[in-house]
Amino acid sequence: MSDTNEPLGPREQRLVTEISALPDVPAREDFRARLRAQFVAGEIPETSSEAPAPAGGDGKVIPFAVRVAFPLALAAVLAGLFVVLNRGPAWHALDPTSVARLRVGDQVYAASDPALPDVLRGGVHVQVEGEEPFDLASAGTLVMQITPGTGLLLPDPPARWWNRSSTCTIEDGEVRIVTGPRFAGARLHVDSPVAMVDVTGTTLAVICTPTSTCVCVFEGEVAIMERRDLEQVHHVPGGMRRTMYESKDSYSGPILDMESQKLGMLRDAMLPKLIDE
Amino acid sequence: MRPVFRTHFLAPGISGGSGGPATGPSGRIRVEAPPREELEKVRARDPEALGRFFDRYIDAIHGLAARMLGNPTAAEDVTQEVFLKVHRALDRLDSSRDPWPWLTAITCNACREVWRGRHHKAGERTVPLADLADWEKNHPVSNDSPERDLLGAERAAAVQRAITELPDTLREVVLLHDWKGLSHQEIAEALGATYPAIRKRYSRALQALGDILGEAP
Repeated sequence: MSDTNEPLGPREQRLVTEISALPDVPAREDFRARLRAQFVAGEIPETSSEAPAPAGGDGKVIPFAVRVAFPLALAAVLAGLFVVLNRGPAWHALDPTSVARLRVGDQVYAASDPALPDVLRGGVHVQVEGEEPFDLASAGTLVMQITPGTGLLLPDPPARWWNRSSTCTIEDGEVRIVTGPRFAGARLHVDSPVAMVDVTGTTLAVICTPTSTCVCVFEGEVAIMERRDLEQVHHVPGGMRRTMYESKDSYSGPILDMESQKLGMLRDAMLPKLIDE
Repeated sequence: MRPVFRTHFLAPGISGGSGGPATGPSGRIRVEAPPREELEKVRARDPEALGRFFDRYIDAIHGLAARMLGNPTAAEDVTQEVFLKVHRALDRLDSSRDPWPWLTAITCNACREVWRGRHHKAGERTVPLADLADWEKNHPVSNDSPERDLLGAERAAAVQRAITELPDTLREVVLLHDWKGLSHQEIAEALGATYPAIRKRYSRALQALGDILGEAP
């Protein structure tokens, strides 16, 4: 193999001579002796060059489980813990001695039924059976008084710290809502066939039929959007009501006397319980 | 006393070590290949043959790694790695061929793994380089006179420093060609590159070395 077909200049030739004259770099005697014995015996240990150490300061190889899997598992556990702790107080019957009954899915539960809290989850369909309203509470946060015959999709109890918004969908009937001290900062959307009500802390009633909705605000203020005109937001203050129709003009007016009395009684009865819980 | 082998390379296909010492393109004497029957014993993992094989190549491998990495300590890791891989691959040893190109390829690959590793980033090379430069000064080139020894050692240190400053791909080519005596074709085969590419790298390496050393063309 000829390597002389391209003549080198004097500088390069000098460098070639100098490089070729570089002395050998013999291995240390103790290293040589140890490695020789290991090579002959076939017992050479792995070196760090085969598995370069990740950045760790002391050069130790940190196992995959410690570097990646453990932090991921820890993050998953912490995330799961956060999700569990972030859940709002579960729904329960405010008065277990009440004779009111609630249908959850296909099953009817008495207010005293110990299995009831387990089935009261966000999104389940509930309907009040019999003649007595059913009071559902999320401790310190919210009371929903559902009148007989009313069917709705239960909202999640407002979460404690993050994602504190939930939605209740009413199909037909009436629900009265009293918010408690822990509701502050949360948001409850009440959807009816013709309107969407945004509750941020108040006492109100939502009365709806398939073609109309009346929102009676006892105290505080709610924001209402009609489905036929979602661009328009109506702010209804305490002592007022807004009645909306699917195919007729909507209007506002003073809260109905009877509803004002019921909401006042409910607020007076429930608020102390919400504060105590 | 351990045997001393200068780096030496014989063309592939040799059948024994009867050809006597040969020189590479740079005129450097290269390690003589063992006889075929000796390599067959090595392949059979005969302990005595393994020992002789080790003695024959340890300094060549360690020296090449040290020059490539500029760090005698890192060279020991690479040398250990090379002999580990060799031992594992002895079944594939071709007793009809000189094992040196094979060993060279393993050594270069092991050095490349070090270059890719975090311990040999550009910013971390200065200390290892100083290590080998110190080593040069303590290991004179000749015995003609103390003054000449000193001059030779300092020049060798400067050349080594310049080699270490070369990009990895240029450094391995110039060392394999000028210091280990491999031809460009042999280097191309060992590194898995084309002959023109190796020629080009070699030319660029010499030019860069001259520039680093501040020498006029």
